[in-house]
Amino acid sequence: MNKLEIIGTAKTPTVNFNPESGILEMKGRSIPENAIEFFKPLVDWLEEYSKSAIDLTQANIQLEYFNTSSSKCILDIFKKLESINKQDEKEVVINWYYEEDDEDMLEAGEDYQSILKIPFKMIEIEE
Amino acid sequence: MDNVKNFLSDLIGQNEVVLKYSGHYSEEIFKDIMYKVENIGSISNTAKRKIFFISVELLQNVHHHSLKDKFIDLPENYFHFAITKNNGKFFKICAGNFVNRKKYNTLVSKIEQLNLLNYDELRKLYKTVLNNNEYSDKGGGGLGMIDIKRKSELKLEHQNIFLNNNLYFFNFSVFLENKK
Repeated sequence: MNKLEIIGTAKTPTVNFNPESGILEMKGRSIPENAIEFFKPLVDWLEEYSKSAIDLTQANIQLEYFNTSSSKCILDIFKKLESINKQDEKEVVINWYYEEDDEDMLEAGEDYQSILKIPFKMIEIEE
Repeated sequence: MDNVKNFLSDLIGQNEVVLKYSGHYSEEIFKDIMYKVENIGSISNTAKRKIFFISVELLQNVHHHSLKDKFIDLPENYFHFAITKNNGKFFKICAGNFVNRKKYNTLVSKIEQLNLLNYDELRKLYKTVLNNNEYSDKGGGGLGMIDIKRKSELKLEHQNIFLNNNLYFFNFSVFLENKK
């Protein structure tokens, strides 16, 4: 299975999904007008990855901004990860990074955490 | 359409202008406004992040929901947008565009409903809508105004110009405390 690599733009995040290491990174900003178009390849990739996921998958999410069009798409990504986490002997951890004074981003992570049944770590970073 | 042209000046009044634009909406204009928002000086990171978020949502609402027609002497897809600092205590972010009566009624009703909710109720509503698996045909998820209210924490306002039975110029005003 191929890596999924997308270079970030002013409106979309950098994506690096690596099926061999199980490290899935999304970093930057996500403010496209129609987020479904941007996120569909990510959801499709995860669907494929879920068939042969390695034992430990780590999703590192470090977003500075995301619009509400992206919010549901990010939840769709997390639900795919949740389904992998339910498989026997598979574990998924979501690492949610937020800047130290960004309470809104922390709350956004907590909102996802409350909806999902999956290990979710809140990681504060310095600006 | 002079009343529409002068509307933004009326809304700004004597307040300090941080940023303002009126004219044709395009992707380039959106990017230009967002670049300027990111480079607003002398405000806290918290205020800048919230202004950025609210501006994105307001402008993308304009893009998705405004009437794209050309009205008399205004450019097609006309909108206005401004950020002002009111008495140094609040930022006011406003965006206006043409809407039909159906959209006008929907917006007014939604603003009135959201203004009745406290912070915890808004958060609960946000999570319910976030998890409802419903998308509009334009890729929206019905979260924009809820999250604007959540980030603002202040009463949402709207001002309108009634033009005819099925045409309004609708302005949405969002206030933000100028926290350090």
